Amino acid sequence: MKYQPHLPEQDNEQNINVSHDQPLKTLFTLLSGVLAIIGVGYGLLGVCVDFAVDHLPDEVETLIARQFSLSDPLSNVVQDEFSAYLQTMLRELQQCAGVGYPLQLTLADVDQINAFAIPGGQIVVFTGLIDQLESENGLAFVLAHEISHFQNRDHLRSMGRGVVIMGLSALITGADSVITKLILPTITLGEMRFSQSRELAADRRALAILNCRYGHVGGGTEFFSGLLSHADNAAGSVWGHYFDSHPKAMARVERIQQQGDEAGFRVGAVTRLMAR
Amino acid sequence: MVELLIFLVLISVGYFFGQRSEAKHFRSIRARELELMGLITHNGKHPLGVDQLGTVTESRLVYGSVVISVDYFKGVVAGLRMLVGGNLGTYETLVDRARREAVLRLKESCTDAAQIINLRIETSAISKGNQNQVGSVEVLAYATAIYTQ
Repeated sequence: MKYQPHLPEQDNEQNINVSHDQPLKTLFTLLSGVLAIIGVGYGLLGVCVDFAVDHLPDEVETLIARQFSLSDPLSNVVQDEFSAYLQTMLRELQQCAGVGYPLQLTLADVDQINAFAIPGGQIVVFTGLIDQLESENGLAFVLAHEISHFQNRDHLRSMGRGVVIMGLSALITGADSVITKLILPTITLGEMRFSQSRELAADRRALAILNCRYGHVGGGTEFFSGLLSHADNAAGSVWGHYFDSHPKAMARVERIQQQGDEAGFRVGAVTRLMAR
Repeated sequence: MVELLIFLVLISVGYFFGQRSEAKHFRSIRARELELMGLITHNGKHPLGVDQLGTVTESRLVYGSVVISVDYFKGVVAGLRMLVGGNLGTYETLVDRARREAVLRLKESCTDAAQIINLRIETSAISKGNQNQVGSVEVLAYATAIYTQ
C-alpha cells in the first residue's frame, strides 16, 4: 500500500470540515429572524395584556392595587385648607371623568416639580408643582391627566408588559449575555414608544375632562409651557420621573393644543389658583 | 442606545480583526502543509513500509498544541445560532484552524523524522461556561516520531 498524502484544499477542493456560508450573511439572517420573533412575541403578548386589562373587573383591579404601597411613606404630607381645596377639585374632575372608585389626593411638601398616580386611586402632588402653576386650570389638567391614567388602567398595562419583558428576558438570558444586551435595548425602545402613546392618550382624555369641568380648555398647556421657560434657566435635571417617559415638553404643548383644536374645544379665560 | 452602540463597535472590531487574522492564518496553514506534505504522518500503530524503512534508531514522543480564541463577532453569531440550532459555522473554521495548526506544529518539531505514527488529536475548551469571558479552544496533537539511519 502506497502512502498518499492529501491536503484538505488540494486540487481546488473545498475544505469539507468547515461551512462555506458568508459569516456576515449568517449574522444578518439570524439577527433579523430572532429580532422578528421577539418583536412579534412582544407585540402579541402586549395585545393579550391590553385585552386582559380591558376586560378585568373593577374588584380585581382593586385587589391588584392593594399590593402596591409607597416603598417610602411620604413623611411631609400637607393637610390644610389648600389640600382640602385640591380634594374638592379632584372630586369635581372625577365626576366629569366618571371614575367609579374613590380617588385620594395627597399633597406632599417636596420641592420637586412632580405629580404621580399610585395604583389604587392615590394621586400624589408635590408642592414644587403647585408653586410652578398660576391657574387652577393648569393644575386641573395635571390632575385630569392622572385621573385619565386610572381610567385607562395604564398602571395595569405597564405592569402586564413588565411581566412580559421579565419573561422574555428570562427566556433569553439563558442563551448568551451578548444576545440579552442586544435584545433588551430593542424592547426598551418599544416600551418607551408604548408609554409615550399612553401619555398622549391620557392628555386627550384630560382635555375632555377639563372641558367638561370649566367649559373650555384654557390653561391646559400651562404646566408644560412653564417647564419650557423653566428649562431655559436650569439645565433640566430637576424633573426626574415625570419628564423621562413623557414626550418632550415643546412637542407636548403643541400636541395638546392640536388635540384641543381637533376636538373643537374652546380656549377661555383661566381661574386663578388659590393662594397657598 | 449607548449599549447598542458599544455592541456595534465591538462586533465591527471583532469582525474586522477576526476575519483578517483568520484569512491570514489559513494562508499560512496551507503553505506550511504543502511544505511538510512529504513527511509521512498517520494514525496507525505500526510504521508503513517496514521493508524499506531500514533500522529504527530512535522513536520519540512529539506533540504540538495551540490555543485560539473566539472573537466577539464569532461569539455573537454562535450565540444567535444556539437559539435556533444548526451548524456553528463560525466555530467550525476556528476548530479547523486549531487542529491543522496543532498538527503542523507537531510536524515542525520533527522535520527530520522518517515517519510520524500514532497521531492523536485532543480538543478542549478553555474558559468554558463563564458568560462574561470570551471562549477559546485548545487543540493538542501528539504522536510518535520514528527516526531511521
